[in-house]
Amino acid sequence: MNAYFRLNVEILFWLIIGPFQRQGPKVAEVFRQIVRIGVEGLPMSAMTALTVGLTLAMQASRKLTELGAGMYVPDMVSVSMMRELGPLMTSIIIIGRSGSAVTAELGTMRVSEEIEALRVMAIKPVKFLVVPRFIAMMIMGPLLTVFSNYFGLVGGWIVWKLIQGKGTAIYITRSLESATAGDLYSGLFKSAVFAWLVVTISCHVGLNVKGGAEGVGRATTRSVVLALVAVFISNATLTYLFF
Amino acid sequence: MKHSIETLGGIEVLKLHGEIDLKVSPDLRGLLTKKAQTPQDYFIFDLQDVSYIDSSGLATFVEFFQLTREKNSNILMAGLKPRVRSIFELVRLEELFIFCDCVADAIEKVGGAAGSVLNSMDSAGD
Amino acid sequence: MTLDSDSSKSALHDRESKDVVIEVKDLVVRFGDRTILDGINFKVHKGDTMIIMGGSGCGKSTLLRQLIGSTVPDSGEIRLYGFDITRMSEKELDPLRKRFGMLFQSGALLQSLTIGENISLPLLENSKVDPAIVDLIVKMKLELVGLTGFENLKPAEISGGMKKRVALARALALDPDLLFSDEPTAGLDPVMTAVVDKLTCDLTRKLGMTAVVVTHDMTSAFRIGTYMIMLGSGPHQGKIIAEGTPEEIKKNPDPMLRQFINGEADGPIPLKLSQDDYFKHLLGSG
Repeated sequence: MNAYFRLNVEILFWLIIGPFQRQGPKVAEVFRQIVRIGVEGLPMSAMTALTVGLTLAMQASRKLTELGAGMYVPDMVSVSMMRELGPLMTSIIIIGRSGSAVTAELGTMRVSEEIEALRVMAIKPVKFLVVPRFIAMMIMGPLLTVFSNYFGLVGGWIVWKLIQGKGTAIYITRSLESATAGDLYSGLFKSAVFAWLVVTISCHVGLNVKGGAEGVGRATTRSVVLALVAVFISNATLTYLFF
Repeated sequence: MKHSIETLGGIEVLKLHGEIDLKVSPDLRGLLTKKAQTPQDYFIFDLQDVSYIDSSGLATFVEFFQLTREKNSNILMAGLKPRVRSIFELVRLEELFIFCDCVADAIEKVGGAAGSVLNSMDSAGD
Repeated sequence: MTLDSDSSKSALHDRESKDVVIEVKDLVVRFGDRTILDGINFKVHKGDTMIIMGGSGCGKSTLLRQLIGSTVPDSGEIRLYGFDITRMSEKELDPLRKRFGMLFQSGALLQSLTIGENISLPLLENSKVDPAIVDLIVKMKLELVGLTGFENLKPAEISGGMKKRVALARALALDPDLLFSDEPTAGLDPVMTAVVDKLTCDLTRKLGMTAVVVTHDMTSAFRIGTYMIMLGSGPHQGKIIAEGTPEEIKKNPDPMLRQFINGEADGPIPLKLSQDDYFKHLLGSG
């Protein structure tokens, strides 16, 4: 736990102080990580969000129609996507796809002496390896969430339009009217917190792998479990604070 | 970086001093890039006061060779200490530069010194 | 003894200690209740090639890790250029680390970077040299280890012996005046072993670099070494059982040393010593 906080402090040090010592992060490496963490994760999170949107709209329209409130399906989909499901589903996808990959990658580097080699070359592993991943994750977490929100809405629209045969215009106006900017921002804030937790946990676990290939495997599982737990707990806490 | 330009018998000799390492090689690079802009048949470097040259210094000279290659310039290195010469030879740079025992030798090779044979230019060329 | 008195005294009297690059005093390292290194003392002088020999598991690599400041010993002192690295923080160690190169046993190349990027890494991270110059340096370093033209391949695409040589090129990227190598010739064919040995000799004899080499390869050890120490195993675990110049080592009658150098299966080193234990273990210690 102590080491985990030290990692956070060190990341912030290199982010804030680093550029002033002409030791800022390498832009090319940050972009490489953005592509690996974010862009390549887009299809997966888009698909997840789309199915979540579909399911949500189907479940909602049945119950809401029973209550005579079938009009409110767009409201339901957009608010729950933005506030809750968008950030949460996206971060789960990120944990499974990118968090595990980061742990496995850093863990393998640790096991094959690459991290030690960096240290011996007077290169700080946190500055060189963790900071680019951190920046990439902090940018791509919220961005992917925005995309997920969009695809969730598309999923809802598919049900609304193609199954229920209602108008597209009304779907758009209703969903935009009911969700406030606050809904979007609270969701984005959540996704930023999740991104922070995921990337720091997966880097921390990866950098501290012990015991060969088997250790890397165990660490990857551990990092996924820890990150999921951290995201769920913080989600509940943040939701409590926002409402 | 410490350097001085001397003219001996109408021929310009660039004399370098001290250690050519990561700290001074950027300065050397600036100097050499400027030199490369005025094409000459030959460039003479006096390295007798150079005690050490590192890879960045070697690379700077290699880059200078690249810059002057089109003009077919000869680059003469004079008076290298054995250790400095070994550093050049370790990466087989003796094939790019012409090593001379001392500056006078180099000047004679390019045929600049008073009374020296003019056609020795040919012997210096490749 | 402080650094100042040490150097001033030596400047006057003792030529030998003037050029001490590494000094190890009473080094003790334990893993749990196993003692890996037990009171190691030695000095490495400038321009020397110190060979560290010993059987597998005798603590050679552990000793090397101590020397580069990767791990902290349980007790004792390690002075690099006069600085006691066992008491230095990571930040204080960095300027020293830029002065030495380390060749890891596995090579430890960064798999995500190309060979060229691996070699240029210390230059780009630790100096302000222009990328065009770095590019030329990379090509020269690859030529040194006989791998000209390989800069765009990834470490996964080359053989183990080539990785070793790339790692050596990377260790030499900043022109260190001290080189640590862990089994530099393991996995190399005889010709490449000779190339690497010649390179080590050129760097140490002609340019005055200091080298500390851990090796099993006795041919190579006698070819490049100027001083050798042998670490013991079994009851002599963690102690230096023999040391001296290659000539002294060749003449040394110590049976353990002889067995190691001549590569004999049976002798004082492991087999006979463990035989009693073997039967006890095999038949159960009733």
